[in-house]
Amino acid sequence: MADDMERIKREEKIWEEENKIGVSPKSPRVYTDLELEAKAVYTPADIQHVDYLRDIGFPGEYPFTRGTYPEMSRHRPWRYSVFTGFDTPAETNKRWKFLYQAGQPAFNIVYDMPSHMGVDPDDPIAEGEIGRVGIPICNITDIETLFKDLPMGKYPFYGNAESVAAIFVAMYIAAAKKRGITEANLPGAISNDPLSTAASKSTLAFSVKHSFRLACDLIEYACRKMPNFYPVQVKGVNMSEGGCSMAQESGFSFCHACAYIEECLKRGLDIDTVASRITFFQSTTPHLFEEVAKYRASRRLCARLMKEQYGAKTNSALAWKFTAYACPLWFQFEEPELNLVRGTIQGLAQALGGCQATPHPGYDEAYAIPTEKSQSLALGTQQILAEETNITKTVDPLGGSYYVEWLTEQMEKKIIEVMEGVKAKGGAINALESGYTKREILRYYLQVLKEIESGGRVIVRKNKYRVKEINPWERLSLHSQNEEVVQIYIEGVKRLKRERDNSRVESCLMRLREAAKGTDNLMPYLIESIEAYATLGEITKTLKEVFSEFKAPAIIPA
Amino acid sequence: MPEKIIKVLIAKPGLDGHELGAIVVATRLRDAGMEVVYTGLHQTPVQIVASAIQDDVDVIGTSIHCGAHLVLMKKIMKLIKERVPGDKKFLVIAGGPIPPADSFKLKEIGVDEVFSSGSKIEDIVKFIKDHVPTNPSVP
Repeated sequence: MADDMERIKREEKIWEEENKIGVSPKSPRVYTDLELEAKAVYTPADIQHVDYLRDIGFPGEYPFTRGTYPEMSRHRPWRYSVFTGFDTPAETNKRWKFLYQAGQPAFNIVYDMPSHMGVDPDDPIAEGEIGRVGIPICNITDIETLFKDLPMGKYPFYGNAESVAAIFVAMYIAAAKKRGITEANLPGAISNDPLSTAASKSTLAFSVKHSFRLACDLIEYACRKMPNFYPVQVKGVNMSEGGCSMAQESGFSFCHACAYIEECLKRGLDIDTVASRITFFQSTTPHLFEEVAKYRASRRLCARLMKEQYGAKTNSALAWKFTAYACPLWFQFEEPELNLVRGTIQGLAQALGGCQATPHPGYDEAYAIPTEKSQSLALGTQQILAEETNITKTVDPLGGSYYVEWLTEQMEKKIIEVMEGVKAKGGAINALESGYTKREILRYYLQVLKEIESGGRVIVRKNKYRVKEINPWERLSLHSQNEEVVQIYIEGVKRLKRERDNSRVESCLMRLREAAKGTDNLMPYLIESIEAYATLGEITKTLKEVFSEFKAPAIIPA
Repeated sequence: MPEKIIKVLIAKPGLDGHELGAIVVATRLRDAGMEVVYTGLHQTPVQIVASAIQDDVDVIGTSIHCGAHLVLMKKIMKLIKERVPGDKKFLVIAGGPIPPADSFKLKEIGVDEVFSSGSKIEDIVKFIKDHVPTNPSVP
């Protein structure tokens, strides 16, 4: 065996010399996203030290390199969907019905910016932003409207929200209860990851420390009472949209996940419970093989981390679960239809990488909120990948490729380096508060930007093959806001505030304020307030009387 | 006499966190020899205009990805009119995914130029250099 490997290496050298590979101007060196050179070809000698049973194994078994579950998507596709949210809950409900009919096995929303920041629609600071980049969710009636004539509880309810996630989940629990569905039966997931958000995007209503406390309250509550709900999706995708590298995405994500885990362990939960409920929300660029390697390496690394560092034992605690989103940073403005092609390749990387869920962006995402047409195309792209192409017939079809196994190993090493960097800065929260994480991400992105500006990284129609005559605005019929329904909605919020039992609201908020001063889990207080028709803005304001606010570091990298 | 260094405020109004565009423009304007002040996220129009006056900038560049560009720029332009001393002039430019029809409306309310998605950095630099107002220099 060892002799064979030596022979292969010798032959490879001869082959390289004969073909003048990597030594002539015609054959310059080529690099991967890992800032490592990619050879012209890979052979068994490149992965000779990989022990199949120890390092790769079988899907659904330690170290899970090949997949989270034994059969993955062979009999049931991953959960594809599209993020929806615009104008008002009633308008979004209409789009949800369309998507339900089109076979979307999830209810998936995107919140508008005032909602992310815990601001009510009738607050003057939110003027012009209601229903713009997502849906306004202000109180329990909004969740009821959203699910009108739709089977709440049949499919998971997904959403991205960070420091106010606990408040939205309280709304979901309270609205479900009114329909006779108990929290124990509620399916869904919410990102609830203020740490990754502090590194990039920064949509936090409270300081890192206080957002973290509230996030852990939700995680703890779900671990104890909501067995079908995933209370945190560590948001690598936020950091990717902020420009990070693949290794940074997984590396920082693991550091943030460990922070949540350690806090929950302190609260008396056991590792197998907590680790099984933490999922990851990752991005996908069009760099297909690197992405597949990132997902495979992350599975292996997560399993080893959970086992060796925390002593996790069950498969569901050891197996890394992830949602993947075709990173909109790589959706381009020039010639919008080409984003359908990019999205398909990103979707292929997600499928071959073994994703569990894929909200897919519209090709018009770089311009505005997706239209019904672009959402149908996005959902259809995923459905074709999952059910028309035969790629799901066998698990991890790229496993065993010399190149992909080599890349997986290199990726794992790079992710570990990122994690060690954070450790040297005193852990995830210190690294975030000192601006280290954000600075590292921007440092990498400026490198990428230089590559784009110099043409070293080709982006078709943007820095190569430009066509002046293509005017993207003329090619699209973009979503435009129905301002009339938004005004009616805002009036409805004002009416609710007048007509509800305001003394009940006040006493609920008073109890919440007192609880926030101590260490009680705030979920029951949030649910009680929501049931009394308290609004997101009122709850956030109440918490801000106790919690400090977030100040995003304003960094222009050197 | 050495050429006066152009001072630019890059501002992020709105509640969103899409700041990569603002950061990229800020670094590239700095590379082009300008002095750049970046406000960071979630700034109100009042805060932005106050920073512009306090830092005595020549240019206010806003980066808006939250869809509220018309509302926010109207407020900023109104505040500039109300609060800025008569002899001081700002060059005001706006960036973000802004549709052409809205760019037109922004120019109508006094925004000097709109750089929508797909704009080139060189064009922004050139526009600023060609149009920067001559302000009385502060002693």
